[in-house]
Amino acid sequence: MRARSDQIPTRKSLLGRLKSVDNTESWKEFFETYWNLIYSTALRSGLSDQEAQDVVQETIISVAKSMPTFNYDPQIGTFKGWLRKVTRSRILDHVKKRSRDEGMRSSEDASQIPDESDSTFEATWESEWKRAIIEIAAARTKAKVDAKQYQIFALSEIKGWPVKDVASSLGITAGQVYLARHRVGKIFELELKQIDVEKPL
Amino acid sequence: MIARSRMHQLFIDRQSFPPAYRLLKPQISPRKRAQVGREIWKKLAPKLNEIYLSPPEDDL
Repeated sequence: MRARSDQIPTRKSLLGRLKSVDNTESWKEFFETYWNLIYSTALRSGLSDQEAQDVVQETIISVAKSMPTFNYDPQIGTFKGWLRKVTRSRILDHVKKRSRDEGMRSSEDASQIPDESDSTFEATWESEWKRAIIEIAAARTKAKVDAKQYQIFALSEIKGWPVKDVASSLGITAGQVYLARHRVGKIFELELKQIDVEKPL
Repeated sequence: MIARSRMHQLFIDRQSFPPAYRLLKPQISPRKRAQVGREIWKKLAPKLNEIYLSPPEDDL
């Protein structure tokens, strides 16, 4: 069985494959990697569920339209930074539309739209980006370790259950919980580092 | 004694784990999230196909 990490290409290779026409599988992979990041950021920016879903579609369509002429150069800017700008623009489109629909005055519209240096949006994006990376690392870890070991790790570290509760629920000793947490945690740490190496995620 | 020493080491290692784990707590349930993802993709996929099936602007 191939390791999950072999099945998830680096973001750079994924971006390269998106340039080829009608590459549905690559777009599906791109969507699965990034949709929740865009969706969660939109929700946290104050949009409704439906608006956030629209932002996901519009952002990915914007990326798709840009892709034929897109040249990735980390010296100029990161993919992460570019995707943040595209997402932010689409979110602002919805904020403006909502303001228009509600018949707000133009001066009030402007006051609701954060400027380019909006630190709140930046912080939201950063935390959602971090969440996305952790989720990818968790998925890779899950595919590499024994299901029971991962379950112990997930209950203890991700869900935050006390060690004694994990042990009693699964019928194991506290020592086994610590050991599984340590072993799986090490793999998880390696995956996190690997993703970091795979810049420009 | 060895076991106790091993447990102590594990405890020390535990202290170096990133607190970022807790960020994994989702805003919506994983089931609901998966459903939302499927719904968006269902609408998005034909639009992506349309973009790639459209002739380049130079040919119009």
